[in-house]
Amino acid sequence: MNAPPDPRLHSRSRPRPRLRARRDVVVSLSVVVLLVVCVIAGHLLLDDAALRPNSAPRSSPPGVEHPFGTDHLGQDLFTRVVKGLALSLGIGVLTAAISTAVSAVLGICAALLGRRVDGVVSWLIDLSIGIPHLIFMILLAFTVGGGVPGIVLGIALTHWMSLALLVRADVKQIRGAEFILVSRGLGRSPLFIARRHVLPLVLPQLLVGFVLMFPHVILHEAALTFLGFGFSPQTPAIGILLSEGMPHISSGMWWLAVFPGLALLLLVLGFARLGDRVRTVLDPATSNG
Amino acid sequence: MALVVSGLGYGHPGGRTLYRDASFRVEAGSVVGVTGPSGSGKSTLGALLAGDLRARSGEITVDGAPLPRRGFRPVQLIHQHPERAVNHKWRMRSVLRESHAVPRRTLDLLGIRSEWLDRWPAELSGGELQRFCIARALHPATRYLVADEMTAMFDAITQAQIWHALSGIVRERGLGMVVISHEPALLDRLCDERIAVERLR
Repeated sequence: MNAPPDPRLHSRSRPRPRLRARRDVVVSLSVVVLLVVCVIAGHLLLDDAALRPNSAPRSSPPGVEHPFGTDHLGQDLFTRVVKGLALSLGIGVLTAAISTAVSAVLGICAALLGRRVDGVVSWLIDLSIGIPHLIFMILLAFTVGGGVPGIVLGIALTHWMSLALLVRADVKQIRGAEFILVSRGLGRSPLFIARRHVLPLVLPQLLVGFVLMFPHVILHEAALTFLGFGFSPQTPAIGILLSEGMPHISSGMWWLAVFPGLALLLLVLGFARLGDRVRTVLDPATSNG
Repeated sequence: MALVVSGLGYGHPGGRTLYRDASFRVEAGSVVGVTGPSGSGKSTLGALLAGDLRARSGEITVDGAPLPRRGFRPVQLIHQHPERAVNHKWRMRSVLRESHAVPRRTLDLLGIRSEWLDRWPAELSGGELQRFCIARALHPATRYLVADEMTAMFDAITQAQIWHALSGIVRERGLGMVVISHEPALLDRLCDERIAVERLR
């Protein structure tokens, strides 16, 4: 007699972890893309006029005309939030790109160019990790003179270390591969080997690093600006909005802090989750998701 | 014109000494077999000849000149596992081009079909991949070949085809060849001379 098949063996209700991760990537990617498209569209469509002191009612709570309300100068908060997010996105892309590039170059060089280069890079990594990064970041931003270059360099140059360590470890495993020995025997230069053999193999790692860097950058940009080392007060940056809105939260004008805060949270969580899921799909071994 | 090894000494870092004072020569145009039990240092010898490892003492000269440290090496090693000797992110066409523009005739002799050139390494069998590795090693500037258990992974027919093609090319170009293997029958057929690794200690 044949026993009936165990329904648990054939159940489709619990997809395998990697399949689920793939689906999650699609979901979080769509959320992030939707958000980014909205922000860019808003940035292009919204009129700067709403940012200048004008005849709009001052300090009005959220309503039909001003969905996020207005501040004490009559500026539309919705416009400021969208402009602030657009600025954050731009800074995020630029900074994440720079720090990923630094990690890739230093990580690959350390692993490929022999013990002396490795020693110098490791020393640089240890040194940079040793300095508390908020202080390091403020110092760098302050030295460059604040504004966009200060923020970008300050964050990029304090956040390349962990990815550089990962890349270095990966390349140390790859460099002994037989196809690299063959390439060397054929007279190919270390630069050729780094570009053509090694880079394609660490690209997934770099991609994940880039996406995970993004929410970090946006938060730190807000933090730097909040502390007064980032943008000048008239720039519609999220950090400025938050530091301006904070004092008003207890005086009843809650919308000035809550809406910028929520927008920041949404963007950061979206990217953080996306990066996490992408890692699960590309590199199941090192992720625990 | 010969690949000359004189007074070669080598031991793995932190391990036992494999060679203390090994000397032998491979004349251009001749085939020398290297035999020995597993773990006796046959592959290490191959890596030393090809310049992948540096000798602790002694020297290796190719047609009178020392093995170059940089640039193209005139002694080319063919590995046992072709799938590890090829970057799996490259198409076969690029794998060949990394060495040189391999002439059509060489491809034909080795039995490489033109449709294989557009495939990924994962889409070819081990025997097919090994033909590419051989073609790649046959650079115009190559003077000596070291075949390290090159066909140990393959069935008898593939082995016969590959060796038949390669010995033809090697004879035609007057290359010297070192065949590392522990198959006496294979070495009997191919080699002019045989060296037992134990003798090199």
